[in-house]
Order: sequence, then structure tokens, then C-alpha cells
Amino acid sequence: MVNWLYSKKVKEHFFNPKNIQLKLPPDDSFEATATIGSVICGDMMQVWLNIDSKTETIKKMTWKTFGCASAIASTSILSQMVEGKTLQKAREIYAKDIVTALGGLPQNKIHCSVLGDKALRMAINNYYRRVDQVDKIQHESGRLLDSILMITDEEVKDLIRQGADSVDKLLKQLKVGVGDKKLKNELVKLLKDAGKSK
Amino acid sequence: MRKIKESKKSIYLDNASTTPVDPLVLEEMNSFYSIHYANPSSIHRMGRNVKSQLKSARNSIAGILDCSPDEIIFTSGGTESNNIAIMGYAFSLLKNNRAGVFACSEIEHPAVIETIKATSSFGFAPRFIPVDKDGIIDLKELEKLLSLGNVEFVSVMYANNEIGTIQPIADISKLCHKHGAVFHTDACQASPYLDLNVMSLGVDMLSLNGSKAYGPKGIGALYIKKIVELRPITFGGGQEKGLRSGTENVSGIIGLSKALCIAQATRVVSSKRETILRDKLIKALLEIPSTFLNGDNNKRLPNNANISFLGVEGESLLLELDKAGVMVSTGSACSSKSLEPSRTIMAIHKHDDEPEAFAHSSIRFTIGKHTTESDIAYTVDTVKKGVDKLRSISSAW
Repeated sequence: MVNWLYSKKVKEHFFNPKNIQLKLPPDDSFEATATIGSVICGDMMQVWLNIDSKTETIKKMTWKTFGCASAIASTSILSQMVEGKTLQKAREIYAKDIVTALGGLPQNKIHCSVLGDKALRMAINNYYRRVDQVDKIQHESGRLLDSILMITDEEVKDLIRQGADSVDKLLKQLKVGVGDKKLKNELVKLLKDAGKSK
Repeated sequence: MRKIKESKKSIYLDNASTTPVDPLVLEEMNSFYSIHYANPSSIHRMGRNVKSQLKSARNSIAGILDCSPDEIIFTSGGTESNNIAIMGYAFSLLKNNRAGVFACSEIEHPAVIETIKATSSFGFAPRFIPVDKDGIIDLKELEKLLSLGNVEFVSVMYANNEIGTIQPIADISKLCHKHGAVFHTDACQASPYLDLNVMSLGVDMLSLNGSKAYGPKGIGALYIKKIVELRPITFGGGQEKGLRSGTENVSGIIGLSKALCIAQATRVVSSKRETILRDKLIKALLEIPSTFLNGDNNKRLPNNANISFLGVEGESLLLELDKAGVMVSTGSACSSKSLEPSRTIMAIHKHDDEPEAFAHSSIRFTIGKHTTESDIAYTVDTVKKGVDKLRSISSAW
């Protein structure tokens, strides 16, 4: 048989995605929601959470995604990973955990298509905001550089450590619109700090 | 785990990527592996025999182009033809201590765009000519650029590989010559469908290859008008007038010649047949809400339909179609090596609010001579199902 483009697990979740939110749900049918990404980036997802307020446990996560096979598969598998988890535990799921659960993804796909964990953390923050427990809100570690894709300086530093040594390479890996001057300047600064500027 | 059922069907609608080799072409080629394998540069009988076969292949192609056989060199494909045309001309200008602008349209194939960019390392100034919303080159912008007076070289593709738009090559030739610029066209996509007469096109150089015209891969040709001086960009034994050293790919050359002969002899009939199929496909697919045809309605290759399905990402739709046995390609960033959305689709939608949305959701269907009516019907059905499914889970719909 011909090898498929991605792992078996990605294939399974892409063709038979789990926990899809087919129709937009009424406002009172979920406890929290969040959207991340944009059509311009090529990936955009929204998640909805049903939360047991007593135990702070996720009963169900549903979602909608516009994106490539790995974006759809990564949101789908995340929706299974978080079921029954406390909000604290769910917050600790990061892109690398999703990639592992999927049996791996091509390197260049990881930063662009695995956004579900960020959407989940945003939704959890939105939940705490809604129930007036603002002390439990946690911001992405590091300083926010881009508010649509929730890119932080820590994430960029990580990419630089992994070998990205130019703004172009960083933009490609982060898959951010090249037009964003502000972000570009931030990237130049971070490269300079890491001693990678030319 | 639910078993994912994959269709055994195989409907190939990716002919702009490459075509199958025509059995008649293959038949011509075979003996050049097993019997006529000698090196055409050898002066013994076997070598001389191959050399004369090479000569008649060159003559056949010269007949198609309406040029002299010594105005044709064989290369390893379209990419190399384009490289030799652009860099070879740049090097000949360098030799004469000339510099200036090297220009091409903003929707050229990477083999042209990247080479034009590379001329900057040798002191030339790359410029990119804009196209309109249908992908036709803006002749006013071209003339504006040419009237600056320092444009040495212009390259505009005969027909676009992604959206099939056909350029007014004869008009562009005239404009370039009026201002003293050399004009090259990449005719790789055009060769199975359009007239390749270099006299009526008026071009100075023209690139061809085998793999888009039912010929073999790894073979191409470049027409170079006698008055155009090129310098070699690779070096060796001096074959092909010193512009493409290396033992000739004889079987490939024989195959290319045969393929172009067949393609040009049948192009009117196949264009008519494929246009009917293409228009059926386009009409049926545009019935899906929020879909757009990329490229010109009429000035379009007979085999090309490029459509954006808003709210659906191209790679996802491509894989849904693939599962059902329909093979297409996409301009989405997710499927490109560079993770950049299609430059061509971005260029024609530059005046729309979100050009990326059109690029990310675009699918290219390219019909071939084996495509049937029922292939088209099945494809339409499959696309409708795929778009429905992906829109139902899309956050952008």
C-alpha cells in the first residue's frame, strides 16, 4: 500500500474527526469558548468546553477547524485527550504532546497547524473570567508578540534554539503573514539578542 | 478504529504537473536504450547512426517551431531551458560589460522567477510585471517599465501552470523589441494546446519540455534565435553549441520530438474535446455556493480549471478527493514546500480583501487526453461531498 502523507493516527482523525461541533451551539449550552488563528494564516479553530464547575473538570470539548489535515487531526485528538481532565491538567497539554499523540507530524507543520492547545488555554481563561475567578487566569508563558496566533517570545526563542537563524525562517515556521511589521521588528530583536543577527 | 475506505478509482486530473507518456512515444524511445545506445559524439558507425537520428529529431522540432534546426538546443527540462535562457543571456551581457533590468511577470513558474532573482548577484536589477485580476499581464505596466530604457530581458510565460491563463505573446514580443529588450517565453504548459510558431509569436527564446506534453521527463529544449548571444552556464564537452555540455539524452530527445509532433498534430481536436469537459466541470463546480474561478474565462488553456472553495482549506479537500480516487493539486500554503500560499493566486486577488483566503482554498483540476465525461461527473460529485463535509467542520464557514 502507498504510504499516506501523515501518520496513521492523523489519517484516522482527519477522515473521521471526533467531537465536531456541526452547528454553532446556543450560548447557554457551553461554559467557555475561544477562537485562534485566521483564514489568512490558513488555519483557524474554535473550541467549546462543557465544564463541571464543582470539580473544574472538562466534560466535553467540541470544535470547528478550518485548516489542513494536520490542523483538523490535531484538534480532533486534543478533544479526546482533554475529556475528563481537570482544567489545571488540561492546561498542561502543549503542542508537543499533541504531536506525540498523533504519532508525529512533519517538522514544518508543527508550529502552524497545532494551535488547539492554545485555543484550549484561552477557553479556560475565558471560563475563569466568566465565573469571576480572575486570579486563576494564566497567560501564555512569555510576552505576547502576536495576538491572533498567540505567539510569545518564549516560543520564538525556542525556534531560534532549534536553528532558525533569520526572520524569514522564523516567519515561515510560525507561518505568520509577512506584512506584519511590528512582529517582524520583534523577531529581528530576538534574533539579535540570541546573537543570530547578520 | 474505523477502517478508512479508499476508492480503487484513479482519476488523474493533475496533467499540468506531468502527463503520462504516450505509448507511441515510448515505442520510439525503446531502441535508443537497447540498440542505438552509442554516443552521438562517437565517430564510428554506431555513433554516426545515433547522430543522424538526433539530427532528424531536431529537424522535426524545428519544423514545429518554424525555425532553423541550429536554433534549438536540448536540455534536461523546462527548468534548465529557463535557466540557460536567463542566466546565459545575463552572462553574455556581463562579458560585454552591460547591466540593466531583467524582468518577468509576477506569476511566472519558480524556474523563471528564482532565476530572474538570481541575476541580482551579477549586478542586474530584477523587476516583476503585475498581472490583472484574470492573470493577464498588464501591457501598460510593461510599457512603462520598458520605457525606462534599461530593460535588457523580459520573460513572460505563454500559458500559466496554475490558472491556465494565456498571455498575448505576440503583443509582448512587439513591445519588447520596440524598446530593445530580448523576449523569452516559457511554453511548457502551452505546448500540447497552442501554436508554437516562433515567427508568428515573435519571441527570441522559447522553452519546451517533454513531461507536460505526453513525452518523457528529464528532457527539454530551448529555441534561441540566431541573433541572440548566450554564454554557457555549465561547462564540459561542448555539446549543444557549448550551451549544454554532457552526453545527449538521446532517447529523451527522440521522445520529446515524437511527443511534440503528436501533440501539435492533434492539438486542435484535443483542445476542442477538453474545452467541453473543462467547461462542464467549471459550470458544475461553480454551482457550489462561494466558489470562484481563478484565471480568465476565455484566454485559458483547454485543460485547466482552478477554483477556490471558500471556507475549505485546499490540502484537506485534496486529501478528501485523493481518498475517493481523484488526483488534483492545490495552491494552499499547507501543501507547498515553502509553506507560502500560491504566488499566482495571491497576485490575481491582490485587490480583494483577503487574497490568502482564495489561495489557501484553491484547487487545480487539469484534464488530459484520457479524461472522460464520467470522470468529470464523478469528480463533481466527489468535490461537492468533500466541500460539504469540510465546510460542516470549518470554523471559517
